[in-house]
Amino acid sequence: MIIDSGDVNEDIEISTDICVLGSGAGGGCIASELSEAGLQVVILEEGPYVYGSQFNSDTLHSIRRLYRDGGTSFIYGNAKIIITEGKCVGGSTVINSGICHRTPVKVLKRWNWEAGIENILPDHMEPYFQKVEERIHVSEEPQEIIGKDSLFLKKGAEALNYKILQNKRNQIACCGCNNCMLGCPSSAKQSTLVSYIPRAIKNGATLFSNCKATTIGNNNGTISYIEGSFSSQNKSARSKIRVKCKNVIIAGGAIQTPLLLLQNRLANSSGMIGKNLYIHPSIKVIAVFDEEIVGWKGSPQSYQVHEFLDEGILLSINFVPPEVLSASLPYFGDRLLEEMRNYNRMMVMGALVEDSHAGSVSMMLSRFPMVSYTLNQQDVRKLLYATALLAEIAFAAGAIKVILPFREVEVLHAQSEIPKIFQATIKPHEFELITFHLMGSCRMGQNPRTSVVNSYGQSHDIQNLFISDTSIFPSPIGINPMVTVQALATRNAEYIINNCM
Amino acid sequence: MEKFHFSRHHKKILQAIIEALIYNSDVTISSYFFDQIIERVERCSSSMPQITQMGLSIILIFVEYAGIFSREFSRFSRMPLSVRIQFINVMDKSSFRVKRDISRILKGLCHTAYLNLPPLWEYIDYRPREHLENSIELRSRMISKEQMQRERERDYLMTREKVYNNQTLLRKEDVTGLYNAAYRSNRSMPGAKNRIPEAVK
Repeated sequence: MIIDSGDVNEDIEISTDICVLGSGAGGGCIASELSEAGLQVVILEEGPYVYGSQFNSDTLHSIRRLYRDGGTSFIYGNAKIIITEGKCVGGSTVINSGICHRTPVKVLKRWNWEAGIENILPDHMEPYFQKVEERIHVSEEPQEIIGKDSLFLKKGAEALNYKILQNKRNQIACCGCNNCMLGCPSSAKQSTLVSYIPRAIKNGATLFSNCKATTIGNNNGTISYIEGSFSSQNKSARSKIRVKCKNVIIAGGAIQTPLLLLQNRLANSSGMIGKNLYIHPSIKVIAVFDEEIVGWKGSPQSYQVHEFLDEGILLSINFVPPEVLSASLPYFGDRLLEEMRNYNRMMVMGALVEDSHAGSVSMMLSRFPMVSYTLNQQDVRKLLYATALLAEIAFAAGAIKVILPFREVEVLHAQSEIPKIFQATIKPHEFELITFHLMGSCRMGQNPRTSVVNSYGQSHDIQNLFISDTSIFPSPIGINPMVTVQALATRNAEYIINNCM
Repeated sequence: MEKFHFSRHHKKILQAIIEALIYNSDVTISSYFFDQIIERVERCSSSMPQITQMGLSIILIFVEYAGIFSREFSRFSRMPLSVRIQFINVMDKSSFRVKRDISRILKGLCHTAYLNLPPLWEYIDYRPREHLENSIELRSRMISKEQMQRERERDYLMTREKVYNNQTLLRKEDVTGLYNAAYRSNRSMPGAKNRIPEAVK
């Protein structure tokens, strides 16, 4: 059952076995697994419930409805970094491209060796990956619906002999409408909204949308209730909800989870809540071609260049609607329109970099969330190198010019001009970056002095408090994290069923 | 979400900025479009955190009065269009980082609103609505009957209205009752599971 804030006009009090805060990759998955095991589950989701044909191509309307702060949150630090985070039923899985990668073996080993995480090695994780892939229908999409921009990326990478792989995505009969970042109107993308949440609902879970958890009731080191309020109502007449529960699972993502814990002063004996935030900083360039690409047709991100994965660089393309693209062009007036006339001949390329330095999440004036991150020299160099690689691939695919996000070097017209990127003195504050993957702000580990939760997402301090989102990652993973979160959630659900109920 | 509105003073500054940012020597832009763009900027701003909204208001005031300290010795909104364009150009290329950042923020916000106008979509030949309709139609032909049936059952399960028995608002006891019933219907009542369509495979 799904209950929205608009349906409620009185304060509510209910009791349950499990209260899950958040319905994204981690929350939706763990709620589904636990309700399937016969437990009574309540999900509180801060964002609205939007489904199927309610998704559309109006960028402004959709971003405002589905993204946290309408996609305008940013990170404080030496570079301009925009945060993109879903805030709706299904969380960021509703607005991502649905790329499904298993966690790299090197990352799992590192988590086992460095953080002492139990049962995390590839052999242990195999059944969980399999289960997740089956649930969300991970497969390659048919060749006919692959977008021309993906084919150009492939052409460029192959011309340079770079390793390029077709992505597997969580989809059933994707029709290439390329509306992934604004929600899939055909429901082909198997986001949590159409995969795990219906499963949970079918098994008796109740989801409250537009309902923000504010207080975690702590009674002698045990969580006894969660309080929240229905957020879309008038401030003066907001109904409240109190959920008495045996276990709480926080799955609000790497910013909201630590914020909630910090606000409630909980589970922070290690002092590590909000620390070790990794963001996978991403940079984009715009390649312009002679022929039409029409990036808004065909499935997005069908290929990724894996050649530089060992160096922590993942290259791909992505469709960006004209509203967002125009905001990143360095022009205005006549010139802007002139460039935007080439919109159908533009290909937006992006590079994701595995960061070597961590940021933090904290509270400013005990009220405002503050995400801080400093781009270090090593990552600056990596980002410049990634930009050069993107330009190289674009020219190899036949681009006539590449528009860069740097003031000193705005445009390249030929491959021979790539060294200009390194000759200019580009400082961190010149970068315009974006982050889609926030990780690690409540990291797991066996040592209670250096981590927030144990190997299964259970708080070291409070036995009936669990975390199930990217915030428990001990390190960045260098690829899209959705499947990793869901595999860990599946594994942690098993632990809760066997040990905590 | 409560809608954010600029004051009349802020709107005047914003319109002056928009005029400079989207000027086109070939096309005369009607006041209707400016209203549409301002309305869209307000929509963008309404989802911003309160602190960012305050920051935006301060930026508008900064731009308005920065002109007084320039060679023009005039408020931004009172400058002729050509001077305003030049003013933004100078801000854009300034060696002072804050000025550049302000210019980027304003450009980002105004261009996003501008390119959201339907005539602009036509101008750049961007037709996503038709493409969406065609793609969804194509998908309905691609999937098997069994899959279509499964999706219908899932969609039924996810329909909120069915649980409310045509009530528009739920009271405390309604929610508690429905909540308990949802759990019981799946767990306790014999054979109850069969009444719910097989939703997701």
